[in-house]
Amino acid sequence: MRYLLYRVWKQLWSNRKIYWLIIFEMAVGIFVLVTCLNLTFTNREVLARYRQEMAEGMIPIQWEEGEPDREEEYENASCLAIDYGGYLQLEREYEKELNLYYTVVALDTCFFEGEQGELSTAEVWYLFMNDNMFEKCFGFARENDQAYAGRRAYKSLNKMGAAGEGNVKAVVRSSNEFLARQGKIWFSEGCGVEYKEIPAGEKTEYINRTSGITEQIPVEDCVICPISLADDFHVRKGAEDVIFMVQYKGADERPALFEELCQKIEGMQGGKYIVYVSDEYLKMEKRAKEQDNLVRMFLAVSFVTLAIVTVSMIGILLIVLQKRKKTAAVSFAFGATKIRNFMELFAEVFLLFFTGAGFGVLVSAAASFGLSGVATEIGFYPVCLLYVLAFCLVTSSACCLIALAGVKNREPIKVLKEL
Amino acid sequence: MKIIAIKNLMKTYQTGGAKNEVLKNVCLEAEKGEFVAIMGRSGCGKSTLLNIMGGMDKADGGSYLFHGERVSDFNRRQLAHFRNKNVGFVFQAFHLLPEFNVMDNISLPLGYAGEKAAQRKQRAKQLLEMVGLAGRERDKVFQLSGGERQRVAIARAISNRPEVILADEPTGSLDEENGAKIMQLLKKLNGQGATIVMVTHDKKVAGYADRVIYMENGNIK
Repeated sequence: MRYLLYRVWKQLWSNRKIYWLIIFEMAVGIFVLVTCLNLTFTNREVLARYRQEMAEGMIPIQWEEGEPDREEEYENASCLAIDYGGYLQLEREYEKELNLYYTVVALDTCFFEGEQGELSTAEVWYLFMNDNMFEKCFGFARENDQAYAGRRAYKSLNKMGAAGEGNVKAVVRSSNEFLARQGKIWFSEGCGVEYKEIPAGEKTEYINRTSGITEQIPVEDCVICPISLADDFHVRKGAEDVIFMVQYKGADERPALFEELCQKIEGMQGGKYIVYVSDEYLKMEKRAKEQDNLVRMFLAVSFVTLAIVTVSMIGILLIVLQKRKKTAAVSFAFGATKIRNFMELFAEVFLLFFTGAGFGVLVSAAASFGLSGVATEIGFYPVCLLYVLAFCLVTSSACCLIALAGVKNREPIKVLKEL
Repeated sequence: MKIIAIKNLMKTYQTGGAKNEVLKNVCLEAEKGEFVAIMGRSGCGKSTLLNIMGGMDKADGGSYLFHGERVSDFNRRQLAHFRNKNVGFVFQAFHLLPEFNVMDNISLPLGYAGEKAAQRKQRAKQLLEMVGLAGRERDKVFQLSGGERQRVAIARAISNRPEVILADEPTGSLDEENGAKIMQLLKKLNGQGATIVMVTHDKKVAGYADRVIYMENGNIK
């Protein structure tokens, strides 16, 4: 073994001028391969992240007003894109596949008349949330179907409840009916729900509206009510909007389901609304596809580069091996087997390729660290080294075999006769 | 004591579509320590016979015994071992390896025999001294004259202490003076106990041998 390595070293040294060219070519090829593999792995991670976000994330369903010439159909339609009945229908139909996040949004303004007859107002957002949405927003389950009020809304409700007892009069919207009294909010006669303040330390500050205007509703002005009251409130006082989001229950991504869902919602209101998946989701899907294409492109580039480099290296080796015939024949005469000669050649070519590959990996690693966060998202993946090693082994064998096959009259006796 | 015993050796080469019988029932014996010269015209089969004797080539028929062992039945690995341990080649064109220096060329058979670097170096020095090239270990092949190259080639042939030296036209590329020096060196080795089988065209060179064999059309006359 030592003698084999000694001879390999001698051969590498004596051919160093032409071998630098191979090392350079190999370094370029491996640089491209490793960089492309790093980009591929990075993009795969990004792609997986997107897919996970798409699979796990809450995807807003949005809508806009449909065509105006279909007004006659609107007459029968509810003003909400998805009313409470529609939500219950969707929940039934997609129970197995989707988690639904549904909230009816209504803004109410309370007018308070003070001691001296001065008027003050307080805006209270009534959000009728289903349990999924509530838990997602606040991280705990609702107790006993009660309502929760944000800090300011809680004060307003209390003020309303206390109206008439002191010098404060409350005038709620167009009627004098008190909405809150005795620790309950009354939506209709006999329909009241207890309210309490959202626990201190709650981090959620805003609820994002998803359709129409993109707006954040401050939680401190909100009264979060059970979804079962949404219909009653909507019929009696009207609600202005709904928030609707969905989430896959399984990890699989099935965009076809979204289309179906959107069509179903459109049908519910007789075509009043055009329903679509949020831009964010579409962007994510587009980015995922782009990443997928990038992965394929980088792999293709690396394979083409390596093919060119390999062919070029075989050409150079062929020239070297033509000269090496004599060495092999003389070695054969003094006790080397053909396998031993091949082993020497293989070890030489492998070391040569490995040196070139080493340079390529180093440059690629440096480029990855340099570019990361500056130009593109790219990491360095040590698993690339395995690919490089495998590539070196395969190409060394292939180059040796192809180059040997290309060397004419390599039988030792013939070679020795010719010289 | 017979070191080489060849009986009815046959060798045929296929050139194009035609068969060329190079050796036809060749029989040859050589005693240990004998100096045999083989003479004959070009293409009469001398070199082929030498190659078979050296384990470089295999015969198509007949038998070749070396110290009673049937070399003709050896597999590739045994043949490689045979070439390494039992024979040493000296070629007309020297066939020194230009990428190696003098010492590396001489120690080539020792390397394949598994000798350690220090032992190879020591043996190479000893042999260079013997062939009159002491101190030239580090020289490159191109720095040597023709005569010096052949002396290095002889040193290489005997580095592993083979019993038989096979020389194919050892003086063919040398002038008369250098040729004579080489023959004297071979004669000296023969005197030290080496068996030498030499192929030559030159009668003067053949005169150094104990016995001269003539070959014609693949047979010994």
